[in-house]
Amino acid sequence: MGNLGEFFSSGLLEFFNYSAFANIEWGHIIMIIIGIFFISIGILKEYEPLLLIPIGFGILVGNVPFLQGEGIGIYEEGSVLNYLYFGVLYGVYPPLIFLGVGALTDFSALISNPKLILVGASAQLGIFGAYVVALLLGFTPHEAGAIGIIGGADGPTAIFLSSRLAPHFMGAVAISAYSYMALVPVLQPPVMRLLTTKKERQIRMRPPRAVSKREKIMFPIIGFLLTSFIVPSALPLLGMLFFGNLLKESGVTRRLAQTAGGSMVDIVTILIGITVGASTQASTFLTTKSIMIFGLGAASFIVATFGGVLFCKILNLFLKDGNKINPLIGNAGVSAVPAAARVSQMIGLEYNKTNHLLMHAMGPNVAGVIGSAVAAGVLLSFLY
Amino acid sequence: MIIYHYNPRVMRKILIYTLFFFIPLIYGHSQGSDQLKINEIMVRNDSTIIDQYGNRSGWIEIFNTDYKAAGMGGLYLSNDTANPKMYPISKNDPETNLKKRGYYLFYADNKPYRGTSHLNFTLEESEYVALYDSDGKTLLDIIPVPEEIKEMSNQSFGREEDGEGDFVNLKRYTPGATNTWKEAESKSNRIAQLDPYGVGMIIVAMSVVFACLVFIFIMLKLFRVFENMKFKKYRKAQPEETQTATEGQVLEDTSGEAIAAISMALHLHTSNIHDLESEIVTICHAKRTYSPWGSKHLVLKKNPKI
Repeated sequence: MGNLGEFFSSGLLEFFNYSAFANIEWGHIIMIIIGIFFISIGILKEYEPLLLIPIGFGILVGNVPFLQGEGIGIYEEGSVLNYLYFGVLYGVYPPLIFLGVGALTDFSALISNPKLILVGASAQLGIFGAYVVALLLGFTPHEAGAIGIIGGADGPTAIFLSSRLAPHFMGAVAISAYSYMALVPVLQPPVMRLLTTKKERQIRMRPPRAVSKREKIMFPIIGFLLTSFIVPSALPLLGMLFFGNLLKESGVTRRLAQTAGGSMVDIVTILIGITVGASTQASTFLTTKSIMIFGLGAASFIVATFGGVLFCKILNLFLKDGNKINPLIGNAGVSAVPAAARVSQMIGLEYNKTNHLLMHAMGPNVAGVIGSAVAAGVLLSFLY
Repeated sequence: MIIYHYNPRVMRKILIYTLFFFIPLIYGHSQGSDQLKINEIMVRNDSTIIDQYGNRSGWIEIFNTDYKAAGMGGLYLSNDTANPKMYPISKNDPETNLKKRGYYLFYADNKPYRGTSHLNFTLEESEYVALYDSDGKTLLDIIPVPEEIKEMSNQSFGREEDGEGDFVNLKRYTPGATNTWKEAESKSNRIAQLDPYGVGMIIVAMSVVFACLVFIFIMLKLFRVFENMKFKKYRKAQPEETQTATEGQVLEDTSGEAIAAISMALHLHTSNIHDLESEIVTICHAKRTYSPWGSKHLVLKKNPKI
């Protein structure tokens, strides 16, 4: 009887040692709180819930403490989470998301007013601004490149680039990129108001012209060839983006476009969200550098908004009355589609209830998607 | 009774096709082996890779410089000029087929019974290692084994760049991987030295991004030009419909919103929708109990068609 009691008591003690309660540290608790915060703002505030809820829950999954070597953790070879993480580590998921983005994106606003594409290019200043500041703070060029891409406001591109340039920062970069994408309505308006006058905010833009089907079909083919011939290193992202768009616009591959932009992109978003979240284990994530990455991410978003709005103002100097651009669409040059365009619309309506900027802002917004992929390709070819 | 006629034309064709089929195979093998190089060796392996038996021994890395697969089967490795056929590489082991730019490791442990990758000599006793073609005479590549590296722990000796360049003491051992790792390293260091503040990167990268998007801008402008040209061509081709073409011109410059508004007005006009609705909507839930047992299509089975 005594032996039996001893057996069970030692078994229970061993069981307790395996449990999370025995292995928990302060870092885990902090990360679990962060995870719950992400889930909360996703549900209560509806800030990018499709991204923040999977990432938030992923943070919970990644920060339940356990004994190493049991084949459970995301960094342990052979574990289920490790297999799912493969798609992040080797850059499989981001191009698939771009395929879906392409299948969901309507480039009509851009085709009808081509000069808006230059606004998308100017907003990439955020990427390289953050790159410079990161270098000054002592990060290596590889790390600075991975951090800078946060300014592109493009989660998949940030994951794609950081997985190659600085895999050890991938969790922090991805979380930062997605968080700031969700915080676009908070970060951008002050910069937009600061840089524009009341008169500029009320500029009415000419309504976009109707775009023919032929133009919509030609755009992904020629656009892909032009951009990928210049920056082949961005081929996985650009190829998938334009391919997805061709599926949509061709009109004869509706089923494929629906799958790419529907079920497939949803599945990949779930996988990328949960695995990126789970990769933020307290031991690797809670460092001074992660905090610096978050700071730099916010700075890059502000610089990107600054670049876009200022470029619109410069462009207006050369445009005739009636053709002028409302600088409030400059913020949409970052590729947070369509959140950044919605911010333009929201701020525009504050100053003129009948001035709808949404469709105009979609032009630089989709140009930002192309621009950030090209910028990632440039960084990759220089640094990788 | 079947009579077989000797048809010289048919026989010639068969002969030509046969030669076409076999010559590339014979020639291809020899061509592939030319591209194989001894890339890196290590004599004193104290703490680097272990073989499939858990042992550490000296190793030799072979690299396929070609951009297509190359087979090593039938070639020879040797450390003795008098005996070039010292170690015949197995023809039957698929692992000896190197993929493009691929690597293969041989363990110089004098234990050939352990498999294809285990040689029948060691590097400690060698002054050089040579790779011979399948004829056992043609020398494909040779690497010296310097006395100094026999004394140095975990020191690898090989080419500075994969498959080419001089043999040097490598700064880092890279069994089964590229020797040119330092290039990537130096690329990062170089950019850190040459452009410490990233200003050059900003200028170059932003220029490239702008160049890309300016090209798309020009392309979109050209789209517009072509669309207009097409429209003008259409208008010229149908002079009798001058009135319609003029209307078309107006529509071309009209925004999508205006077109939508006109279409809606026409739709309302033609549909004769003008009654004022009460604007009260009543939703009444029709309760109907459903049971799959009552569904004919679930209960009755169709007879198979014969």
